[in-house]
Amino acid sequence: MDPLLNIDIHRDSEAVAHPALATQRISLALELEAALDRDALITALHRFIRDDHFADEIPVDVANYAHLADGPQVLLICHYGQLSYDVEGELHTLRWSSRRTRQRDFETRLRHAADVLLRAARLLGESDGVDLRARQGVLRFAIRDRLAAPDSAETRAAVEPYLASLAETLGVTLQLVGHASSRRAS
Amino acid sequence: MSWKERLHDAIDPALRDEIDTFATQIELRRQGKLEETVFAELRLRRGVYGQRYDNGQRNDGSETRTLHYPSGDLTKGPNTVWDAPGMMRIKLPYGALTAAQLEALAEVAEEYADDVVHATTRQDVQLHFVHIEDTPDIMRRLAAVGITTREACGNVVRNVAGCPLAGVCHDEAFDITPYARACAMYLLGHPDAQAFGRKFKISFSGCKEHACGLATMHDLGFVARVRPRADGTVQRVFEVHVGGGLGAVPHQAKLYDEALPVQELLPLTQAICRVFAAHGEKRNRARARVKFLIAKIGLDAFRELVEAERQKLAPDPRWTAFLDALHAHDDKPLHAAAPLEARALEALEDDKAAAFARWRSTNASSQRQPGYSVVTVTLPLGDISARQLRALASAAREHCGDTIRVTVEQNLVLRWVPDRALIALWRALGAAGLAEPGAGSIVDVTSCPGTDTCKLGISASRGLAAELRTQLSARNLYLDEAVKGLRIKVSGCFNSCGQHHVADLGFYGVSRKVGSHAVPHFQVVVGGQWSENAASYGLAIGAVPSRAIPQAVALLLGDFVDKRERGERFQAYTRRVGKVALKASLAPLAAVPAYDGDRSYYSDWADPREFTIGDMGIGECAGEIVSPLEFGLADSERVVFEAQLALDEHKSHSAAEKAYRAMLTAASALVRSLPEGDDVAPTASADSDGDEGVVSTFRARLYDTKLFFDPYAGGKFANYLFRAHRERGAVIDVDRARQRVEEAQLFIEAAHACSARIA
Ligand code: SF4
Repeated sequence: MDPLLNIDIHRDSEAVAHPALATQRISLALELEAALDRDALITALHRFIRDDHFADEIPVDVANYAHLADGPQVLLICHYGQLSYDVEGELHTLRWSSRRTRQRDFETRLRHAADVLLRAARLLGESDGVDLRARQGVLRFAIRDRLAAPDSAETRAAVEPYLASLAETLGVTLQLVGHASSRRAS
Repeated sequence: MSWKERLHDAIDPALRDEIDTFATQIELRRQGKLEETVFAELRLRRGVYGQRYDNGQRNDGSETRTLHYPSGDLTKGPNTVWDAPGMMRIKLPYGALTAAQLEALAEVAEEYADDVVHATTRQDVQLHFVHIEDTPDIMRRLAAVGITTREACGNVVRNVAGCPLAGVCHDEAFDITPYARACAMYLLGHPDAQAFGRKFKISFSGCKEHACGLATMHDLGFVARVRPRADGTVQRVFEVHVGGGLGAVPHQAKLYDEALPVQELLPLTQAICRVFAAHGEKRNRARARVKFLIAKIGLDAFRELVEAERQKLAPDPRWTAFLDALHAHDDKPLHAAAPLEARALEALEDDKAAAFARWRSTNASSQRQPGYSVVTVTLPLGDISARQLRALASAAREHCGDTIRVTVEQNLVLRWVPDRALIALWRALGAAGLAEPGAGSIVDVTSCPGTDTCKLGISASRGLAAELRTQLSARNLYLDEAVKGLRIKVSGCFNSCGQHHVADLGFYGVSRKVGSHAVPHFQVVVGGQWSENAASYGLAIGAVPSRAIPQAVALLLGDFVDKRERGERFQAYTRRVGKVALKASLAPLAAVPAYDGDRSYYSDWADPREFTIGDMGIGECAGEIVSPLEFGLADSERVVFEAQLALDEHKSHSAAEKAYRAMLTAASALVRSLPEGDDVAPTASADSDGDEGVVSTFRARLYDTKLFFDPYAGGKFANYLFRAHRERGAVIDVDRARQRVEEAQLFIEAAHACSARIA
């Protein structure tokens, strides 16, 4: 059984009330051990569309920004979110950023985001020429919603129980590595 | 709390109301209470544009599939699905940006788009993959930092463009910035500029020599000049050009006034807008730009109309008020001028020193004001990520302040950088991956969005541009000096958004049928002139498969280096060698390998799907046998090429006649390819009865039935033939001959597309 389906989340009433928990824009990313071959990735993502791998997310197209030295390189644009291979200096990530969601609450949105990301990683790992190796035990989290989730202690307090629960389910520990709305579970 | 509430006090009240109104219109459309065509024009006027696949159909390489969005049948315009992502164009008068605006753009790109901001060839920026329902919040967040998207698209005055070096350039007559600003502000939402049949583009240049403002390829272009007065002082005037434009059929602007006093800038512009609104074509979009009005009635009649309107205008204090505060919005240097110290250079390690020198030689130039430099930040394909935007904002805050501008070559410039800060700025840019050298050189390839996101794209202009950029960058150190400064520009189709007409080497996307498959190609356009405000346009010399374009570039450049005469420039070289020889040199590259031999030719750059035009699959056809239709179309291409040669030899009449005949040849071939068509379709011939038969049969069987219609341009291309047919025997001037040659080229492209549909 997929462990993500058994996330046990404890929350208090204050956390539920925080606007960050209403956000649609959850971003989760895996850190990669090495750069991905952009051409192979583009081919694999086009194939995802053709083979209906992410039909639920309604894939629309593949966007290519491999010419950018820093930023997204290749994206699978979907109606409900974007899967992107992203480069930031030495850091290479595979990210799922939800944009609009069908799930009612933060718990299921977070769980769904993790599910999509891990599913994509698994499929890409099986794709020709995409040598995807994720760093074990590391997951980066961000909320890309400056209105609902400003970079503050309150936002952190609101989302932390959910992240802790997800980390526990995935067998990792939570560790803050940046500003409040972009953190790393490792 | 919503963005509307949060930013209530930060947005100009008028703008706030407009955005709220737009949000209401979105809601009304959602509820079906606003008609889709009305809503489409309303959103366009707010910069909310369509994007590829927004009809809810996408070809996955083997079949066209429906994208099942949750919005179901709801549309945001004709054939445009509500939930389908769109593009948002953000208007930046003369490309000006502040650090805070860069940060706001980064935030909206990150939260609502795909993390990237794209700079256009008209100094706008664009966001892609945006949902319609997010657009009011994007507008609010941009409005809070002084940006409006109002009238970024639609049949209105588009972004007022202007030299990015205005105010700091050595060669300018005077700083055009306050004039461009006044013009943009005056016309924004002006009642006299709301009833056009098509868009209207204005540009300002500080001098005649350089191409920074591209004044003569705009609907209305102003070139700054100074005129000596008897008392020894000088008067500021503008040389005024009207009716220019690229698009499918490029027109050089006509000189309207050699020396317009600056006090007359706004009233003249207003009068021209009124004439365009009153007399411009409204029904036929294809002929609705002001260039067609001027071509139709002549410059003198146009001038009379404008002068009559000018006389009728009631004086408006805004016409001249800005002249009393010309320097109110001048850039304010953040730091005092200071030279770059020799010891700072010496302190760089060898490899760093070489890299810095290379970057400085192409990306930094001295300002008119001693001790300051203008720095160009090269944006590959015009793209910059959200993180890079933030890094750039921080570098600007530290070194030069709010002095950023977008250029027509899809780059950004930072002005008022003290020379002393160049190394620090270069390091900061480098840390963000923004210190790529080669600005304004052959590696700095311009491209329109093409098939990546544009609904009209035929071939992958960005894919090709990226490939050329990669290949040329790898060789840049070894490229001959004569080649390094050439410009390459790529458009995904004939509409010319990548400005291929004004490049040394231009390309525009076309499709060719090879056997039963469509193959992406690019027409190769040579001899365009970038300098002198894009003073002359190049012409196509033939289509080459997309895959072979890098070889074509290498071949043309190699020949140029080998065969050029001492000091000869590329444009002069292409004229001397001639199009016949250039075309012949490319001939070996025109062949397309068999489908089973090399599949790479059958897909486009950076897109592994099998190539197709539109969502329509290519049907079965007669294997590898070349049909009479294909022969006919090839023959029409030969004739149009001869027309181009006649044009080069200044034989206008002959060029026009051949262009007409090329269209007839293609039309005849098409008609004859229709089932049971042989008996009714005469062959194009020199005899005018035969011509009449071809045209009338073409009209009956391909135009009236709409078989020849382009999905977007409708019957536009067929009308080129009908018009040329009507004009038989008329005296043709050089401008009209050139247009007809361009039109014939497009007619033939349409015939190719039609042949794929018929098949
Ligand atoms: S030139 Fe064609 S493909 Fe390129 S942006 Fe313009 S319309 Fe689209």
